[in-house]
Amino acid sequence: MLNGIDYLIVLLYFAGILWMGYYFKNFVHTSTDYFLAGKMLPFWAIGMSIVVTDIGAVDFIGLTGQAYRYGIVVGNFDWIGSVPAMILAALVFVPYYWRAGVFTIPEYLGRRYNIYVRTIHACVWLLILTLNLGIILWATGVMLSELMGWPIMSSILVTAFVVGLYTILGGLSAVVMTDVVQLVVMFIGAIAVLILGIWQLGGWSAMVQKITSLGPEYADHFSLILSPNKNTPYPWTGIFFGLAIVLAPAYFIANQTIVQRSLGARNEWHAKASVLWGAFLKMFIPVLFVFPGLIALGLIPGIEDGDRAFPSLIKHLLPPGMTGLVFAAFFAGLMSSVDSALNSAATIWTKDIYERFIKPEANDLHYLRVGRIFTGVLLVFAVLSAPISDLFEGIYLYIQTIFSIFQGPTLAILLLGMFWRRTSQWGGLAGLVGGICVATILYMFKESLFTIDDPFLYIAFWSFLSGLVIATIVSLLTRPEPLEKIRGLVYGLVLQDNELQTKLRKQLDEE
Amino acid sequence: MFNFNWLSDLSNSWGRFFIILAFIAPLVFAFTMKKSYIYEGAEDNTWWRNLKLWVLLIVAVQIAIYLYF
Repeated sequence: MLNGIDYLIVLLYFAGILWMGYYFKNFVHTSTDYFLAGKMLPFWAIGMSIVVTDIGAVDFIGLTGQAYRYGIVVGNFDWIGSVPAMILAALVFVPYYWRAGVFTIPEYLGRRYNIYVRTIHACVWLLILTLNLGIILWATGVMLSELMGWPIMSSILVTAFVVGLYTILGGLSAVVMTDVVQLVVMFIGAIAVLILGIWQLGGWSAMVQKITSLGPEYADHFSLILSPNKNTPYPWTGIFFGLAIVLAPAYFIANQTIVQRSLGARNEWHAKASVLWGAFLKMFIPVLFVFPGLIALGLIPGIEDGDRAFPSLIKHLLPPGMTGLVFAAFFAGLMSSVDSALNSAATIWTKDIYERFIKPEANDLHYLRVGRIFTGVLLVFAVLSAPISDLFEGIYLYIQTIFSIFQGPTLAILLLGMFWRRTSQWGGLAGLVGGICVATILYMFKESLFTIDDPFLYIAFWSFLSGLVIATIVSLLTRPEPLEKIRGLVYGLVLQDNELQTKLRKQLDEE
Repeated sequence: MFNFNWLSDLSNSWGRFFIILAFIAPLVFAFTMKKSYIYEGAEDNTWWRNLKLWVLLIVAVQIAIYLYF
């Protein structure tokens, strides 16, 4: 599939990324430089990084394949399933995290509630990020092996080496700035596929006509709103209640890999603007990754496995050189997901576990070293554990299940904690644990309770609601938090004075 | 109940209405915010740094998309 010039482009891309990562090593002198890029990042870089972190290599194949099978409805995940949540995150949550001066979401939860909430949240995130790394690497290795015939472990080792080097050396600055390049490469690759595809089909109207004339099952391929009575995994009820109300806000408000970038912003305005800029760019994702699925359907109908749509389209459409660019984009997607997971896991480990429980009084350079060592150890673990993903077919599903069980209750206590000052520390803990228990029970009995095969959208909603109700009841039954503790952490209780806030933070840490 | 079967009689137009409402809500929320909060930390108060306008642009594009598809 690739020829000389394609390989050259992929090699140039790898060399450029490595050079950038090495360059940003010069800016890392403290743990804040490493984990939060010295709080110097501009909004445009953070916004681009947020978007590219959200799109992995597997999404190239997955999104296109889903669009081939179900149509434009898949675009809901990047539109209603992202944009309102990102606006809320930009204007309410991110500024408060930024003002609180935290490194991680568990740290914020620890300040707002207590150490138990912080530790539960940190441990679950660490588990998800660690196991996910091996799965991402393995899934991409398998994909490259199937498409190109490349040995799986060779692809994994090369990617791990390049990503590991720049993430360990350059920390969040290297991650964000390489993400900027990776987004540009991804957009160029995807735009090339889009333009060539629509041109070959004779324009947009010709494409719509061609697809809808394929049969009655393709009549809804250009509709974003599907009835709950249709046999689809994406009815509007699930999209609205599960995705827009729960999963999307949970993802953009409580996800360490997403929020950490904004915490590295150079000031509060840049932190807010970064997420809004990310939301603007996010609007293009369905155009660039969902529309190619429709183009593939118009050009090559009858592919049985939707996941073959993207590779078939590349083979069908692209001239030499352009194929290399798309493959570079594919690697960009992979690397941006891996580097973000590595950096976020290292931050949670160092700040929420190591500094809190193992060595609280060490100097800053020690924590910087620990962060780097943990990043390296995590990467080695991910490479070694990657082949294990193949032994357990359900492991990916397990991770996703843990993730969705956890997201609803987390969002519930974050919303209550931010908007209702009466929420007590025990209310927060009960809401988190109770919501997780409800979600687990719903999963255990999903065959008898739900009519669709994978009801994760509905389970997310009900576990969110349970977390909300439990946290409210327990809060009303327990003592409210003192105003001094929650000042600057609750919407409306703003503390603009940085010096006073630092003093308060120190006092609370000592307690 | 868990499947929202009780909403299955509502037409797709209601679905579109709820989704557009989900875009309008944060827009209204943004426009109720104080100017000082929106510009907090900004290097200057030029019009393009007004984040309310950013939200307006994003929401307008999204509503147009949901009305078209």
